[in-house]
Amino acid sequence: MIQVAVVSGKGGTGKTILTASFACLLPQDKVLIDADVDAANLSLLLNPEDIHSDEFRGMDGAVIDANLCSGCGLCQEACVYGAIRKTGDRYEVVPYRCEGCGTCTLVCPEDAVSMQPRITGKIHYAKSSAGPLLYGSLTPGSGNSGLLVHRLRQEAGLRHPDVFLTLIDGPPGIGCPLISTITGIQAAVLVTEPSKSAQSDLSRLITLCRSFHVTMFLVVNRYDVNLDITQEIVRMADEMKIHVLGKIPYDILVLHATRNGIPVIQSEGPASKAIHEIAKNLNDELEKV
Amino acid sequence: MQIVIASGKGGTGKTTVASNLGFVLSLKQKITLADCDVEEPNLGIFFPCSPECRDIHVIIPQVLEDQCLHCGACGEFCRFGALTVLKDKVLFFPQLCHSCGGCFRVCPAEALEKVPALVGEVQTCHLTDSLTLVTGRLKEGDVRTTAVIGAVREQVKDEPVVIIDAPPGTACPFIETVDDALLCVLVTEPTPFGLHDLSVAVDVLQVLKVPVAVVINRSDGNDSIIEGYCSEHSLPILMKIPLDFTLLKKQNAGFLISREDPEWSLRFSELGDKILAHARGDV
Amino acid sequence: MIVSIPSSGPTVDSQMDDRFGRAPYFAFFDTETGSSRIEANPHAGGSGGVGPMAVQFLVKNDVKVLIAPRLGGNADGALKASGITIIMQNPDVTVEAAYSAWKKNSENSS
Repeated sequence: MIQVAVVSGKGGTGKTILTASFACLLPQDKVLIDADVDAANLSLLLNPEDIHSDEFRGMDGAVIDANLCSGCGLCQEACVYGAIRKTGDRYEVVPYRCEGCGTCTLVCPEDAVSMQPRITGKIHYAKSSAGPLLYGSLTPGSGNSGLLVHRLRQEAGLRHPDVFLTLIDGPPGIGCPLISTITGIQAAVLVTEPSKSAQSDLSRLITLCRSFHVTMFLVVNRYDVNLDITQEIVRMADEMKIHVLGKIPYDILVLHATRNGIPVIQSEGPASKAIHEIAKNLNDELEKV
Repeated sequence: MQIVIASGKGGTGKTTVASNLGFVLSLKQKITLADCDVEEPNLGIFFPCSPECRDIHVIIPQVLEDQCLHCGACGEFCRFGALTVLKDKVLFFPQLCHSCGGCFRVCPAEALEKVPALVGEVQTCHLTDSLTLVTGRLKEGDVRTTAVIGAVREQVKDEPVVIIDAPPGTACPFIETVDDALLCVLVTEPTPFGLHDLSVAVDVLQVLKVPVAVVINRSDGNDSIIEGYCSEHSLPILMKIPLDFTLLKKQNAGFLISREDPEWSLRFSELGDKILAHARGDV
Repeated sequence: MIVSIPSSGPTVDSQMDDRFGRAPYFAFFDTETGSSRIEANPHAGGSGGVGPMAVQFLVKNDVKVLIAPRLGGNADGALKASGITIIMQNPDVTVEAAYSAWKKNSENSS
């Protein structure tokens, strides 16, 4: 089985549109994962049919029993996350700040603090024309998206052990959700655009992928917005021996298609043509893996 | 006064809004721009300078093997799996440590020493007499995003007006950035993606009790998808930025449009006035 | 000597689990008495750092040999430091079969 993630460092570079296109164009038997749990948008593009969802429990969180709390404030002093606030003459936990370390339970002289399971999101199982799709959603104000990514990948592996390709729409950034996404995958498609911001994000992302021994491929989206930066990016990729799968031109049809909920690859524009070519190149590379 | 510029979705132009807003407002008053997108800080691209850097550390345990009883208490306590107690030694995994401090409390033999670990840096640039840029930068590969964000917010907390560029998404880093802010301006775009992510961010901000205003970027005149949602939720739309290839080109090349073009300077200045009025509760 | 194997179910005829830190159960075989028992892995549903946590669990149970299919980086480091011998084994067999295969192999080689 091959696991491939589409990642970008900077958000808004066209990662999800490209993932959805790969999902439709790559011929392999596959399972899809939307690991951008903060903003799970792949499902908006693939129009899947939801089958069911499971509750997702993050780490236990602290709960203070108001009947036992004597109002001494030791827990507030001990909490490095600022997750305990005073209300009236008692203390209470601010759930969205609590990381679940349990230190407050150690210091409470009244045994009023306990660690309780908490539901922090959902895992959704759906089916789309391109294959089964797993995506997550977080309860407003919950964190723990790195764990949710881990669980999504785990569930996909358990439910679909025999598929050839796992295609993951990755989260932006280079933090905990991204690390959960790229741990143990074989290849990553890095989607960037010719802007100063995306360029600096890209180099941080490359450093990270390299340390996780992930084979990297590069796609430059909206490349004609700044040809000079595109050239710099391609030169850097060559120096680092990162295979450039292709470049996608700026094309207003992409926005129109997205707005109307139509796959970009069904349009006749130049961007669609480039994406078809990129998917073909990726497919050739995957056959070598 | 802390005002956060955010967007559920990445790449909607929040850095464009934050940078231009900070610049035009600083022509009239003292402004601090704070980049809390510490995984990918980009505000500095529009304001090149050589910053003063300050390292940010968190406290982690170091095991004093001579004193350690190998009782296992710290390993059993640590809910992040950062400490493993073997028969004759203790293993520490720094990448798993959340610096909660609990292990120091459970150790019966004072065998854990508090030592600092580098997680990133805060860079400060005094760009003009009235504009300061404070940027948080997470060390590559580190996951302790919120520690660096916390350090940025701590540094700017007493400044009169702070414009904060938020990290994308709505999870822990976003919450650390926006908690207790006076106003959060969400920059969105008129697509189903934009709407979906806007609604997720609004839900989170309601939990945090932070007031919300909206800016629509890449507007092509037909923004009913966002307008409908905003009127339903009584959210003010403060500005629409048109879809414009030239604007995109300028911004991507690292130019600040409001410095280049008086018309844009005026538009962002109007946006700034509206935002300040909303933050002060004058609306 | 105690030999441990990650198990997907609560009996020794369950399939070996293909994970380590998140395996739902661990089987323990005593080579001297020939007895076996299975315990639920207390850290299987943990949010992170489950590999090192599982190592501490094995150390507490006096394990000397671990038969496992694959290990994460943190677990691998912790196991090496613990002195537990790691035997790699493809997980497409039952826990009992994995143990028997190891036992036969170690008797032949000694």
